Amino acid sequence: MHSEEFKNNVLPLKGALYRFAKSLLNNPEEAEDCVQEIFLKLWTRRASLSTIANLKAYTLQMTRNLCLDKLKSTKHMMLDVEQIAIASDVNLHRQLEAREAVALLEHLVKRLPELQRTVLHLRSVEGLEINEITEITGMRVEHVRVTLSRARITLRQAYEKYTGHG
Amino acid sequence: MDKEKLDDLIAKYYRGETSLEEEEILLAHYNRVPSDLSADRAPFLYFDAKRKEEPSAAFADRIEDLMGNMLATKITRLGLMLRIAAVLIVGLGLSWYFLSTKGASGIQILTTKAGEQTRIVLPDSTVVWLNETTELQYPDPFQEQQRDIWLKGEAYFEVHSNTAQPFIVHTGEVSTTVVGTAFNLRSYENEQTLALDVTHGSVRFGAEKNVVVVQGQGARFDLKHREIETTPSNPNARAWKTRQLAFDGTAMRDILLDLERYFHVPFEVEDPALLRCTFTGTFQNATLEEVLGAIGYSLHVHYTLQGGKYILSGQNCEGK
Repeated sequence: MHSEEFKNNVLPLKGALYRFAKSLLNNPEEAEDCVQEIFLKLWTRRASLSTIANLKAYTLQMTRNLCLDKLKSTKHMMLDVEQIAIASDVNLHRQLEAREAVALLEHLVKRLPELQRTVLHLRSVEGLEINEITEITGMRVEHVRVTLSRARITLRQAYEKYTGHG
Repeated sequence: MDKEKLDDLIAKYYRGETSLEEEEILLAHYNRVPSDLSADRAPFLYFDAKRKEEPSAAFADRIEDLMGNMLATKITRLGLMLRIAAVLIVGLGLSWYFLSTKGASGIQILTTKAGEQTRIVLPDSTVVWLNETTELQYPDPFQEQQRDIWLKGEAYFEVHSNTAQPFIVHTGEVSTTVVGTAFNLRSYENEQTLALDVTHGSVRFGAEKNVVVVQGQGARFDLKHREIETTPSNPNARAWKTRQLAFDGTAMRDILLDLERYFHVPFEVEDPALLRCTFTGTFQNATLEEVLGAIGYSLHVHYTLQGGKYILSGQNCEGK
């Protein structure tokens, strides 16, 4: 892949990679560092990138692998922090505003198991086809659908529980 | 959409069976009632907000800079975060300089990894040996007036003689200008000193001020104080290439510097008087243990390995 092609085909993926890294790492700065690292790796591999059929899926897969590696060392602290954040951010005794609903869902999504969060993100935020998600996660099609279903149902139930909304 | 159809679609959505198009239809439906914050609708709002998230402007700039620098200098090795950081610190000015002077097509880049060495013949028949972790750039073909090449790391040059077309090695701000000669140039970014050792011919060397260094001489450019010092040529300057270490009444102080460079291990002496001991001998393809064994035997010096350092101990050599 030429420098020009790299600039035109790979660089524009930075938003998608960043959003995915942020959803996995729960931290904007770490997500940016992660994406920078991915770009460096991609640059060193640029000679072979032309042979990749789906660059977006491929780079998202790289991003996921790197993020999961990073998470292994810091995993344990996350949950407690999030519990506190929900309690303080959202006043649940009144009608929610749209902005608050989004903030609440942000917290609820963070509590989903990693695989559910990943599948939900790739589908609903990045709008990927199921077969692209199988490529990124190494899951089978059926498994992706089941995981997606669980994520959607869990999110709805958690939201109902916090808001009293049906 | 009638109620029944909608309910089917929602059920299908929660089973994870909707297509992307069907999910678009659902979204369009929910968007008709902006105030709807039900558990079915709110997640769509959330996804929509997420989709708009972009990395910070500063980050986008950082990536652009990074790419700009990579395009300009074509760094092709991994593990370069530090170097790239340094490049970024030097700033855009420099990268524009590189872009404008070298951005033209036909720049060849040759790099070696740690532990790797290589030899290359340039378009003018000059032969260059690259030591490890070194990067060499040159245009192919060379310009008519002069032969410019860029070096980071260490290389030994046997320059094809051509008085009409000087050969210039750029190492940061320091340049080494020759017409036909052989010399070793060491310019690693983690080292304070740039070291030139001339084997044949003569070389003009320096940044603001230049010195002429002739056969058998060397020059050291101190990057911090920006001073040039000329010295006798270090016979072991290109030991990395010849695999030969030669000492001829050489003081231990200098021997250890050569060994540190050649074997990449740090040394310490228990008694600084040891540094004045001298040693004569030549090693070919020797291991560190062989070299230290021979020196130790002749000077009655012992060595131990502690915390990754070789510690030398023994009596001083005065009177021997």
